Amino acid sequence: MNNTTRYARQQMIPEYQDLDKKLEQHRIAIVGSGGLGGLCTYLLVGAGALNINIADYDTIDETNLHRQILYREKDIGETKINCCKRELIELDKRANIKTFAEKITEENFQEFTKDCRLVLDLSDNIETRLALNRLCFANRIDLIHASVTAETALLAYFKFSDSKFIEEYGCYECLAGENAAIAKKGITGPFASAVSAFAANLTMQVFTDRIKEKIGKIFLFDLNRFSIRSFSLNKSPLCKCCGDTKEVA
Amino acid sequence: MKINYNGTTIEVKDNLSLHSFVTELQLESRTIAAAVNEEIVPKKNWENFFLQEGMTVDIFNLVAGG
Ligand SMILES: [Zn+2]
Repeated sequence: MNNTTRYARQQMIPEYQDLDKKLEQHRIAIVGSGGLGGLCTYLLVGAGALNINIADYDTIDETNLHRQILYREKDIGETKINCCKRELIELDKRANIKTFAEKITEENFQEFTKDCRLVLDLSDNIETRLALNRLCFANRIDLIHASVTAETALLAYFKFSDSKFIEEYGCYECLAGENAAIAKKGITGPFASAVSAFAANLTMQVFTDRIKEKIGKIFLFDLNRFSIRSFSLNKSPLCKCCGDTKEVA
Repeated sequence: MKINYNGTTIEVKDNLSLHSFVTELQLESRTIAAAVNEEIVPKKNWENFFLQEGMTVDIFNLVAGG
């Protein structure tokens, strides 16, 4: 298949003329292949991000099907990453997908992010989110955080590869606190999918240097009001992850 | 003094820290984030951050799902 044909419509957007080539030059590490991760990864592979590492240790069950659109009834009982990989390769057989059927920790983080400059946190719990923030910060790897619940979602880009960014804007833990606790809440397919798409868009903007207005901000999506608000991030010198009193990693 | 809290003008006492404000509202601080005048106030700074007349305070729930 001719790539000029494949990406023709995307390339008609001047800023995205070489998006597929830029995406293909990189490897992206994605945590979670559920309501956010599945569709986001699918959209990114579709746009030309052919080199992807995905981590998820869940298996598909019936309660996933209302929102995790890569999976079907016949997939129940299978691992999410195997099904996800299968769908991605059906979309583009050139896709080079490495799967990690395990929790991402200090032990496997290096391997998971080998050759990656960006991690997408599309997981589904606060413990993983705090841990990924610390790991990305400690290794100075850029992090996109996307999280969603019933009618609220958060999206932010933490440019940990840039020391000036850290000095000014800090990290996710500055905002959430090291003891952040969030109970499992309701979630719908349409909103999880919408936020997946925004996370994929933000990734495309990162790789095409169209990120300037998004640096140092967290975006709050309010589905009830149909609004997206932004707040400036701020570093706390007291943060145990990125602050002046941080614990030795 | 008057402040704007989540879109509504309310009356609060003077010399109120963000931490005390959250406590008085009986909010569970572990589950929320706060911004003043559209700038996130890191959680560790809440105790030493004092609200002033006319400030806009936004408090929203953190979310973690996916
Ligand atoms: Zn921090």
